[in-house]
Amino acid sequence: MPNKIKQLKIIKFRGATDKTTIEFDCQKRIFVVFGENGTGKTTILDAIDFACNKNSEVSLKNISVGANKHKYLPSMASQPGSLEVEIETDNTNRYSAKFGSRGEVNVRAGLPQVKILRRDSILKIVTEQPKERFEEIRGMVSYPKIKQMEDALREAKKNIDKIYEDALKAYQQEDANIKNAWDGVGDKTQKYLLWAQERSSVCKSELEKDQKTWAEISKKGEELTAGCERLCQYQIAHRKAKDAYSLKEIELNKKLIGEAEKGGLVPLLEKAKSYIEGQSSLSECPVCKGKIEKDNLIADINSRIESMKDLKEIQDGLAGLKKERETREGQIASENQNIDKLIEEIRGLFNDNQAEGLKELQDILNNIDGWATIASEKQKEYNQLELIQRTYKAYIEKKEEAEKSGKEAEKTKKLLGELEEIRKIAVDNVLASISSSVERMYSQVHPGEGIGSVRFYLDPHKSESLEYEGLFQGESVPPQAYYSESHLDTLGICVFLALSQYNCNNGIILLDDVLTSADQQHMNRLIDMLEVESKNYDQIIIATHYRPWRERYRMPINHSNDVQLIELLPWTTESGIRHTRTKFFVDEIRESIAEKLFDRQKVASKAGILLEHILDELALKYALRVPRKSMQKYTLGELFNAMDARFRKCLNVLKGSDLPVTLQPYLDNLQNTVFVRNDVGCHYDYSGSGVLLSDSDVREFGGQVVAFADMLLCDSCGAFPNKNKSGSYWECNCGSLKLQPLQRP
Amino acid sequence: MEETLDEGIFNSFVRAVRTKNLLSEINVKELSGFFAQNGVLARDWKLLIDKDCFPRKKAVDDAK
Repeated sequence: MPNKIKQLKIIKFRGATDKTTIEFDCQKRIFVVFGENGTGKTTILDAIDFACNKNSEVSLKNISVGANKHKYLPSMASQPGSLEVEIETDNTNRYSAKFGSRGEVNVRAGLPQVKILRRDSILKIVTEQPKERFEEIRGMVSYPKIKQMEDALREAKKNIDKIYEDALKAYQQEDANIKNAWDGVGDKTQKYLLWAQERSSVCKSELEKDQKTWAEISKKGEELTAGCERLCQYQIAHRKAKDAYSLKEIELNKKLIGEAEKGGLVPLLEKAKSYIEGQSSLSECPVCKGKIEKDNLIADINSRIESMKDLKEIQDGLAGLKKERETREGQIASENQNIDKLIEEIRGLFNDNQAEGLKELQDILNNIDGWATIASEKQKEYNQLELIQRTYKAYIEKKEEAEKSGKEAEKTKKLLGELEEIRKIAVDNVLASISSSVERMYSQVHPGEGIGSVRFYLDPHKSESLEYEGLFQGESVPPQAYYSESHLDTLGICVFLALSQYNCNNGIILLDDVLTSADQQHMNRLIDMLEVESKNYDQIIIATHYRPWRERYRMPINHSNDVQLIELLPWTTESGIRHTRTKFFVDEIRESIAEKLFDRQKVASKAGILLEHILDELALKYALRVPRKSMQKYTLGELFNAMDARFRKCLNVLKGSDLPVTLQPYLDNLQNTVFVRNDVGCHYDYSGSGVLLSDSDVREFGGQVVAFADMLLCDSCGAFPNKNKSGSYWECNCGSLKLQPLQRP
Repeated sequence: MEETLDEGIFNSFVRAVRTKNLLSEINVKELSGFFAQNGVLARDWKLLIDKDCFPRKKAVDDAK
């Protein structure tokens, strides 16, 4: 995975109207792109943002130029198709980023991670609403899988709690049912549950058998009663039928006598009629041989039969009554049999002794009501036992169910609680880590100012709401309400750095002209802080128009081999962005001394400035005695005079394993030749000593200053010995160069 | 490769589940259902089992 940008080529992109190529020294971490306004700083950072982040809006994101911001990315009068940003990484892979047909950025995967902070978004995270602020860190504190699991657990808990509650209610209901039963029929000398438990252990089968026997006796008794009632009815009906038959018989006899007196019998007439009707022709009486007419005779017979109809009805009624009498007699016989059978069955349901007392029907009938009462009580007793046993069984089952589901609910609660707690701690740790990083950086920029101690935290009462507080004069306050704009600016930068460090360890960050509001003192501290923090990144690319930043790295005191200065030259339409690698001041003098067209004034002047710069730093480091002035600017003479012989003797430099080299000769020689600077490099002196000095004298002075500077700069890291780690000497960044002593003797 | 916040929380959770004996076999059955309903990936849920939180269930699963 490539980590660094080695070369950036920008073609027809924003301010790069012509091809611009910038080389990055991959041995360095900090890149300061210095340029006056309008020289193309933002274009360079935009190009990196465009390619590495596939960002088609770049610095136009928050600018109101309509929705299709990508159309403003090609240089003036250029077509989108001609736009190209090419990045070569430290593993020499090349990535070409171009616009696709829909305005998207096409580039193959593999470019390093890049985070960019622009001037207009510095305050965003510190002044945003908590919800929006959370969005800035969402990537760092998001836990989608755990959230899913947590939601599912929460749902599970809800359901398991419901199961538990239902089981508990059912258990409580059964408990109440037992108590109610106990209130009604229970043994009050016992507690109700104990009573129910005992009743549950009673064997039901004996009671069930007893209850069934009595139910059978009662049923048979009822059947016997009914049988007796029916028998009684049959006997009454039989008696009535018998009486009616006798009356009917008398009536019939009377009728028959009457009919006999009339000399004709209906049956005889009907037979005669039948005979006559059966003859095809009949002209004489078959009995008397008298002349007859068939039709008249039949009509006569019919008339006579009609007059005897009552007799027939009586005969029919008699036959019916006879039949009923016989039926009733059968019923009586059958019911008697049924009653005898029931008596035997009832007697059979009792033991022998009891049966002895039930010989007669009346004995049995006398007991039937009592048996019904006993059967009812036996049934009630059985039902109660059955109910108690069923209820107690349900009570035990529901109790077990409630206990089991209660344990499950408890476990699920613990499970969810544990996950929530772990998640909260993890997120708090992330925020604490970010807060700690912010504090580490912020305290470097604002030491002893009574501000800082910034703490980020999630509002526990709101979802995805990031709050923060900071110290102001000993009080914890919302910084956005109390801090000055520059304090918020530097805080915003620290928060950005902390987030980017947490989010992508190493990686590349781009700072687009972010330092404007802070004063010089804070700016210096901020730059110091950035140097310290640079170890957490593969590259920091800083675009700035702040000239002291450029000068800081050009001069030896803050010189570092870890820094590359890229200087932008004035922009033109034809050439677009132009740049040059800024020369370090010492190298500039060295080259000037070696030039064929030697510029003696330039060398003398610049060597003087360099010498002033170094001696001033030594005077500050060793608290040398210089005349007090309102403006802390000292002449070379004053600075040399502050370095007495004793100080010069003990001042020495160790490079690696070399022997210590005393700086006294360097200082002595320089003090002897320093007049060259004034005579040649500072003042108008047409005929004075300056004119008389040879080029060799000037070269010698320049050379002495460069040699003195070289002595105090590390050959490895290029840094001046500014660090006090040992407590006994000053050392450079890498520790290869040591300057002794630590303090003025 | 550093673990994500998701992974970090999950691994801590697994440790807690194991050391505090927070899950029973019934939980596995019940929660599997809820996790499935709520779209928790079977793979993630199974991780809990694979990480010896439920040795008995794991043995059954392995046997299958």
